[in-house]
Amino acid sequence: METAHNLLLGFSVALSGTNLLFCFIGALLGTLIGVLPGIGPLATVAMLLPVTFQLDPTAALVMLAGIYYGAQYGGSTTAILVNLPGESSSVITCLDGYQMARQGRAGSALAIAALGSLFAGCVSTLVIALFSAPLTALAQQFRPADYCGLMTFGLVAAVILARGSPLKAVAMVMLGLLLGLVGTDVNSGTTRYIMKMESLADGIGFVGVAMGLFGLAEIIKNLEEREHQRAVMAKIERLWPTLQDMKDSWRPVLRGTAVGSFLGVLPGGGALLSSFAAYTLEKRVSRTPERFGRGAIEGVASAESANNAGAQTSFIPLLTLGIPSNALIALMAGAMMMHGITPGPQVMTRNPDVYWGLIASMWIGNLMLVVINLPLIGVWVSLLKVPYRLLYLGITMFCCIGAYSLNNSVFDIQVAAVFAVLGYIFIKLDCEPAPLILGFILGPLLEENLRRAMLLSQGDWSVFVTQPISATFLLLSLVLAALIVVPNVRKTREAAFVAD
Amino acid sequence: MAFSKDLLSGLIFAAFGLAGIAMGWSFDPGTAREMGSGYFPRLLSWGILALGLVITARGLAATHGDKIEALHLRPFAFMIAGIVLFGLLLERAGLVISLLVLFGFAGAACYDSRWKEVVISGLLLTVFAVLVFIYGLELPMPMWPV
Repeated sequence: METAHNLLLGFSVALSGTNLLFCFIGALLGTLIGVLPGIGPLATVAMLLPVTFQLDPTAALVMLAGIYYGAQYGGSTTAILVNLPGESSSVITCLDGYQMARQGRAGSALAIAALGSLFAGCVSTLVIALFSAPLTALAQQFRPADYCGLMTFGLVAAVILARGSPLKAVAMVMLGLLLGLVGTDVNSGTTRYIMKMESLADGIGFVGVAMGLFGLAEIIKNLEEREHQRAVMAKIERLWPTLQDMKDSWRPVLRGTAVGSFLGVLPGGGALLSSFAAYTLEKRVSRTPERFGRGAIEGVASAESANNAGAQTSFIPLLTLGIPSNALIALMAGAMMMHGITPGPQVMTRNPDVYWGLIASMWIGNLMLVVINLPLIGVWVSLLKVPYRLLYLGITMFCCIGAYSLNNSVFDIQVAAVFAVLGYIFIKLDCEPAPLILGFILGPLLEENLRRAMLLSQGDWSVFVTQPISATFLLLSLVLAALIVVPNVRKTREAAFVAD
Repeated sequence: MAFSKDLLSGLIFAAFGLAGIAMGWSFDPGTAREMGSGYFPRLLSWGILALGLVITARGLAATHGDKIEALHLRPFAFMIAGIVLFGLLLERAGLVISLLVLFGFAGAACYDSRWKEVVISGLLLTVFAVLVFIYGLELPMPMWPV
């Protein structure tokens, strides 16, 4: 009953005229930028954050939710039409989506992706609404050591999900944590690593970091390729899926949603893990697994619905515990903090309208996507035809002005430049930057909780294994870390990333 | 000898670790029970250094390391120069001039750029930016030199 009441409150907030408008604009902008080849959801969200700075917190969150889903969906559109995954989470969609497009079934693939995502979105909104209250109650039991365990688990998962060598990913996580500590130490008031630059006293601006690593560095990499080397787009013949497509898809959508909703909740989970797991499952249960990778609509349906469900339920750890579980959610956390909302269990009690408004707008954001995307597919297609040599000028401009608008300071533009250099080097050296940004956001949180845990235990490190919650997370982290050493899992993981 | 990806990334991580240790030398580490401002940074820096060395060693040990692809200096140098200049100019020369400088450099960064297109789209984008960011969002940046 209470859930229903809360959801009603949420919808009354989200459905107010202005919020609805912002949700629409957010979803539209998110798709618009997300569709652009070579720009993943991370870069899209980073680039569009500044647009929300001027709004009041609720409207800003609602708009961010729209941007978030738009960015994910836009990425899938590009994946299906030109086989260019913006981020690893749409790699799986590429496998069958692009094959379908090459057979002239791009319309079916796009429509199924949209409808599957909508269904997954509806279910996972309910999941969030139902489970966030009990989980918040559970979160109240969390002590500092438990938070450390949880964050460790998330970081280990980020390492496993990164492509390339796990050792490098661990180093990236730790580098991210260290960079997150730059600025004033809240405990002692002393400044750390600011190199005599006053602008760094508040820490490195995370929008600058994100723009540099994900926006500008990507552009530089893309500019290395000549135009004729880029992918060619498939034609769209019909938009609506056939009855047979629908029949083939509904079960994969259900399974994908279930897998995605579950895996999204886990720290370190989210869109990538969900779509990967759902696709693998679908291939297992299929009577004709050989069709997968050659344009099986089941592959698109399951990956896309799992992707969306996971993207949505991965808000749960952030909203209930205040811990972002992946890089994209870390960006959302940063955005919330900029609007004066510290994500965590207190949001639900202190700002119920913000909390439930956000949840309701997730659902509305999903609906918007279908409303926007089915009629506008033609527009996205023509956008994909704009040559990159024109697109990147605009993207560069948005990145630069966006970095500036965070604090209205030119310093952040130079931060973006520095991280563009770093990001480019990392790309060249096969070091994925996503673990770094997660570490960057978690750095101060982890330090604070580590300090408190050790203070409470009077300097006894065994507290991490004697407290049950912390011990569980650390054990799970160990299991995860051990998995990567097992040859079989290792092979699968490598195979999964070869597609990039 | 050619640097492999492992070797170079290992060295870079090790350098970050060393820098973290050196620059954090003066931070008060405190004790495990009452951690000072230097405890966690030191822990991380040593960790990064150690990992960097392991990765470097692996890069050295590998007989056929994955070679680093050829670097393209032109996109890299022009893009970075454009961004840095934009940042330096923005509050002095105003949005219009700094954007035009940015587009000039960014345009030169792309192998496929055609000058006419860069000029036209640069001008259009500048007008767009002035309308959206100065008149629309009212960001506190000057339009013209101050």
